[in-house]
Amino acid sequence: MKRFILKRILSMIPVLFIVSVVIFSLVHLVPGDPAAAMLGDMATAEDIAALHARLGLDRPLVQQYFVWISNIFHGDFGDSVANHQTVASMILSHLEPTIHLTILALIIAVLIAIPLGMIAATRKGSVVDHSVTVLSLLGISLPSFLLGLFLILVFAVRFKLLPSSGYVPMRQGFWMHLKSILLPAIALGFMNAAFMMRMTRASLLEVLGSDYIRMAKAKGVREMAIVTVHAFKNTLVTIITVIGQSLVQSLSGAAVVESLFAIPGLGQLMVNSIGRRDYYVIQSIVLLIAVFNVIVNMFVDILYGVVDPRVRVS
Amino acid sequence: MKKRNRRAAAAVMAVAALLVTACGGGSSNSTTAAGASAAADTSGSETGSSAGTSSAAPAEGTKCQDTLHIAVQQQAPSLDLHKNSSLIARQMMDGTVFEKLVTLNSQAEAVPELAESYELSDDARTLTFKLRHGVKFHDGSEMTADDVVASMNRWIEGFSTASTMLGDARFEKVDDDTVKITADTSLLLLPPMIAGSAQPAAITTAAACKDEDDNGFMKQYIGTGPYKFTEWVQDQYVRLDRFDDYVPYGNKGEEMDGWAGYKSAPTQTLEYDIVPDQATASAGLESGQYDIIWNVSSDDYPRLEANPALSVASAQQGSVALIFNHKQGLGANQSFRQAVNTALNCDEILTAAFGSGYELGSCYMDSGQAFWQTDAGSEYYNQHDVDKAKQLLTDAGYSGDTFRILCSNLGGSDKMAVAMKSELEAVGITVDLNIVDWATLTDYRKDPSLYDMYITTFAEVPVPTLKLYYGTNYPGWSVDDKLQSMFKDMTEATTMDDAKAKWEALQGYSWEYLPIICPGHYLGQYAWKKELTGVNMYSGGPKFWNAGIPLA
Repeated sequence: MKRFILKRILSMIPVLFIVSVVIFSLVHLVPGDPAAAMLGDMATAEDIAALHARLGLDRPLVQQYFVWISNIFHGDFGDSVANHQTVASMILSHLEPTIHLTILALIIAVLIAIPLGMIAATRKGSVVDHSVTVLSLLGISLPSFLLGLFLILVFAVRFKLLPSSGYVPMRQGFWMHLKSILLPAIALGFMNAAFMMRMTRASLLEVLGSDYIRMAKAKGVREMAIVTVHAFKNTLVTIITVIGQSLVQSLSGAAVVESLFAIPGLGQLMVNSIGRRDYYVIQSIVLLIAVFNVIVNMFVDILYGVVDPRVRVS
Repeated sequence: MKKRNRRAAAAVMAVAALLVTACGGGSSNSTTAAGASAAADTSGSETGSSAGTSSAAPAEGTKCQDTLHIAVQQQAPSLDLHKNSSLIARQMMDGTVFEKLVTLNSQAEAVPELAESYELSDDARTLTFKLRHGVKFHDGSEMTADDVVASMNRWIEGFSTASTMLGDARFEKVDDDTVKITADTSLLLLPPMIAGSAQPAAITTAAACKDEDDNGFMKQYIGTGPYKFTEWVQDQYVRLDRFDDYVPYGNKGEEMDGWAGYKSAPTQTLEYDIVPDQATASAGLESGQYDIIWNVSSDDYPRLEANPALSVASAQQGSVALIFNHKQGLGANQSFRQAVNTALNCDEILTAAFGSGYELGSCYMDSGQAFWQTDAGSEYYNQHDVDKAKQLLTDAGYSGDTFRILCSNLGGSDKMAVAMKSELEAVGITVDLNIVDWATLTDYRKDPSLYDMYITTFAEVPVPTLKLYYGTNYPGWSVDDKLQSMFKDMTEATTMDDAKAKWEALQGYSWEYLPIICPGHYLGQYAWKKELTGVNMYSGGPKFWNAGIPLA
């Protein structure tokens, strides 16, 4: 296992190198100038040139790339062009809302998807099954911003149960914090729940058709025990894969929901940084998401071995 | 109907302003604080108010809600007003945290704020300010002439329009209570520039002027205003708290005149919450989470207006500019530019972008600048004359080349471009649209080979000398001897009447030469809780120095 983890960590190095080169190139290929974005319409060419020099944007691109890489190794990821803070501190301050939002969205998705997926699979062809299918289709088709607006309309404007937007950090009270991220988490989690629901249903249906399940039924094992004890365990490989994908997707795709609900997370930081061409911030967030993706996939691979000993991760 | 009412109100205000100006002698060269408080009343209704109005502040001693939650869509790169021109920074800080030597009254005239009085020499080359005594900064220190000189000179250096106009001229200390500036050019229009520029001439301490970050922005926001800067949590909120040692000016209980007058700060804390999505902000207002919201969309405006618990307000906030590339291509041909201008239906273009949130008008200056209103050149405005446009195209020798319009996906520019495309194609012009994000547009517009016209908007400015497109280096490159000479004449005027006459002549010629086409003016639309009073709506968006929600 240790060798496997070490191998995966070492394999990250070329991946991250390629990602860093690609994202650096893409960001610098996109037209737009951080100095002009920051100084506004009234700035002269001289003002802009002076700011370029101060920010190091007048240096050759290769040199700028290595400055950025060296900043990464220094641990601060360089200074944000727009905010005069280190990128690391900006990412840290925006990481908490995104992580909490992602985790809650995932919990909501799992709590909705797995029971409903299991019920749909065991009641194949019934009204419940069709209802779950419609629900999952709805979840996949409905954009998260539209669902978010609907949730705001119902729970914030109509019933005034939850805030329409804004973020309350955990240190200001758990319930206030939970209330501030509940609606965005539902909006974010519903899409993942829909996908997870379909996969759980499909996977469980496949397992329920296996010989060993038929044998269990023939032996008179109760249906509940068949599904929860015997069949569900064999769907876990699929479910873990979907959960891993959902986690990465939530983290990298929270921008729309964060903007809608005014959650100051990584997604919103990324969107704002693109608007002001804050190169270091954009590059570092994309790199962080790439690292996160690799780590999640590594854990998923390890978990395969835990839930199914037939999978030899080594 | 409503739009027509607003236009009528604006027209009445403009006429009244011209009469007041004429009666008051626009060429007066000396202004005092006493003169400021004697000016016109600016009170108006809260609902459907137009430019230049504000509602009455809560009565003295009324206990108000502690915090006003103000939902804004974006945050500025910095709140250093000397060095960035973002509207949102100005809306939060100008007059609230930072004050200036002079500010604007309802006629867009510069009247004293931190100055006791100011005087322009007969040759208009020297401007002298007498400072008020005992004004306190938020760090507890008292304002001195050294602070004023440091602040004003930092503003000149950070504000390209001022530095271009003033050259090497800088403020200097005359004595402890007096500062002055002497230049080779007329300084007639410098006071209104100080009072109302896109980059306000904020007065801060000399030490704060020197304490800059790596980007050259001030690290500390220390002003003299009724609110002090307390906290900025990126992407969440900016918080301002009442400054208990504020030294007000003007007469207690008297309504403000424009931005001039007594500020009572009835609310303890102003919190600007960053809410990027406008629909969410509207929902937040309806649910009671926010007390006021910015930039209400035209879709939401009628719904919020119909809500009995809310008030809405709108005011001209700036103008739209369709800027030709005069350096090369189709835009360099005057007859072609005139053909484009003749073909356009401005109503249709602005409706596409702003719904009902706009006002037609040929004047390049917005209605808040009543003194500068003119209809010179209006015969060329909003013609929508297909036959004449075709004739002009023939005169221009147009042979079917593609007319390339560059626009961003910001603020409805792309929708304007789509509407223009169909209008121009109707007269036989082949049009290609290049829609990009704003940062890309600011990059592309520097390259004259990439476009024939680009679309942008300009926030209102107090004087026409601040219209950037008259600069020969500004993207669009209006290099024309007559235009430049007329612009220079206006900047060198020594009386306001003379400057106004020259502005009228310049605008008349502009509609022939067409440095830009100004199809009209966009409105800033706002909504707030009915109980909120004292919002100042004079210019550039709401100000909250006298605003509060009285507690029952």
